[in-house]
Amino acid sequence: MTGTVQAPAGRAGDPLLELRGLTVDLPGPDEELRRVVHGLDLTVAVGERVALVGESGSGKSVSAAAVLQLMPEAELGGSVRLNGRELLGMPGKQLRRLRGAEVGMIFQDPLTALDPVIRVVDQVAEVLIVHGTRKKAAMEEARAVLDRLGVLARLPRGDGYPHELSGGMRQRVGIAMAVVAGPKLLLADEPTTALDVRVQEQVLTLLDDLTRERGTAVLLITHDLGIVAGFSERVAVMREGALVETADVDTLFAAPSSDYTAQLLATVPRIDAVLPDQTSDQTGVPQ
Amino acid sequence: MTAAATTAGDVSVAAPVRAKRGRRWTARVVEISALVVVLGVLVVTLVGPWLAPGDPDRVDVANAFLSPGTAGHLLGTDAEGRDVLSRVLTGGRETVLSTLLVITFAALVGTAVGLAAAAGPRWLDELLMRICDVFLSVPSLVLALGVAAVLGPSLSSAVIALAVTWWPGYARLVRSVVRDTLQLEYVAAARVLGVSRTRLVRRHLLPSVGDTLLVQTTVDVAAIILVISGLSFIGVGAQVPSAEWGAMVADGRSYVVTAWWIVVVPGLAIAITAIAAQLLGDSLRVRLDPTLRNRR
Repeated sequence: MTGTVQAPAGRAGDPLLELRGLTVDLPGPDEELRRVVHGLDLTVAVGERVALVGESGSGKSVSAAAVLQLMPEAELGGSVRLNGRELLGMPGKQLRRLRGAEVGMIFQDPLTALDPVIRVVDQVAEVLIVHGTRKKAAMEEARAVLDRLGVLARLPRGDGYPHELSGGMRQRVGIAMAVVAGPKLLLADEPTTALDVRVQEQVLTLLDDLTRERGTAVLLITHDLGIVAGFSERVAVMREGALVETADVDTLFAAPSSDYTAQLLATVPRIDAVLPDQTSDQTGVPQ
Repeated sequence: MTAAATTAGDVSVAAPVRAKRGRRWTARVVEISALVVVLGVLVVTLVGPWLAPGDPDRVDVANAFLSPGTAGHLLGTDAEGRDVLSRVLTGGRETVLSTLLVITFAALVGTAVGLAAAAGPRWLDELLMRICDVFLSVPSLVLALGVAAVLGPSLSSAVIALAVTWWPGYARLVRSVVRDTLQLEYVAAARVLGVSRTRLVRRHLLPSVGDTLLVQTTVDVAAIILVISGLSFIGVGAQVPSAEWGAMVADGRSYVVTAWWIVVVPGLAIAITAIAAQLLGDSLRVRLDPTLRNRR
């Protein structure tokens, strides 16, 4: 390896993550490979927020996991480029240095995504330590990020274990772990699905602010179109392992070009929806 | 809900709480006594020979079969006039130390094998588990007889035989715990954030095994004490003149009717130690398992 392979920061608009014809084959119950992603093309630019939406089983999570090659049993094809470097076929050691440092990931369930027997601060600091930061500096940095996310104040004595936190707070710890090493790209796999609506909003707002501050690009994977509108700039819709359409958020919501997207949109309860016999102030949802 | 229903609900809730508190109190007494006994046995193991009032191996045929309570021989003497109290106090050392030896070996080897099987490649898992199957298919008592036949009957033969047959249980246990842990999202989260395989095993997988291992070892202590004493009793383990609990029982068995204390004293020592270790293991299991904690 040639020192740090940290590519030049890149200006906004330059492609950061490029998926070209990505295919994923997973072994089914009969050990036979089944194609679950059929040639996905997707680009995330530097600092851009893209939402990848689709129903359960549409291949959106698998595609994200393929970026970091998290499934040892999967066969991947096509091309995954990060900052112009091909990730498919990259040696494991090199890939490991990339994980966390250049690409962070947030998981769906904050209750299981944290190790119950490791202190929260240590857990966040570990991400820095495995990427070569000294322990003391890593701990300080971890505290700073947790403080920024409002978690530190909730920890007894500024220290403590995951079980001492609520679900929303634990998801913030998950965010802290994902961003602490300063990745350019964040993969957020259903980061709010396991949270209740009010907490969802807080967590999303924090994620939004934090990634804007740091200029981090986000690939938000979700089946909840309701959270897409306020968060991302571009939306990619997936169905049965293939891309249905990609469009600006406004375009997509206003005039979806495919029937499937229109159907998906119709399933979303919308605050600003004006039904024929109803005015918007009667929806009863507090703003 | 009506007012009547609410009241009824409150009553039915209050009653179990009180019952639970009662049970918790007795459970605590049992727990503490078990702990005290186990610690006591360990202390005796360490300093027993110095506590003993006399030489455990001094033969004094003139004073054979003295009953408990005789001056100078609090728990009586055996067929050769050796002081039973001194022998019980010293004999614990061999029994307990060999038990700990077996447990330590089994737990260390079992954990290493289990971890390797669960976290390693699939072929390694298959290989290690089939080896485990081979060892598990041989009953430890039968193997002990075989080892004794080859190496000659002695306490070390018994320890070797037990250690060799005991580790596969731990390997199986650790493998299943680690496999479960590997499915958890935090392991994936650690991997995705760049944690290496060795660090993953050390920091995230090993700690999850700790609880289970601690419980299993305390529970197994009871079983191994019984097996070692049993082996000594049938003459495969510690040999008769030596002061070892199982051997002492064997030694005194011809005189059960006339001089019960020769058998009963070491027998009680075995029983109390085994029961206390078992109870301690059980309460540890409940304490360390959060899903069981509230069910007591």
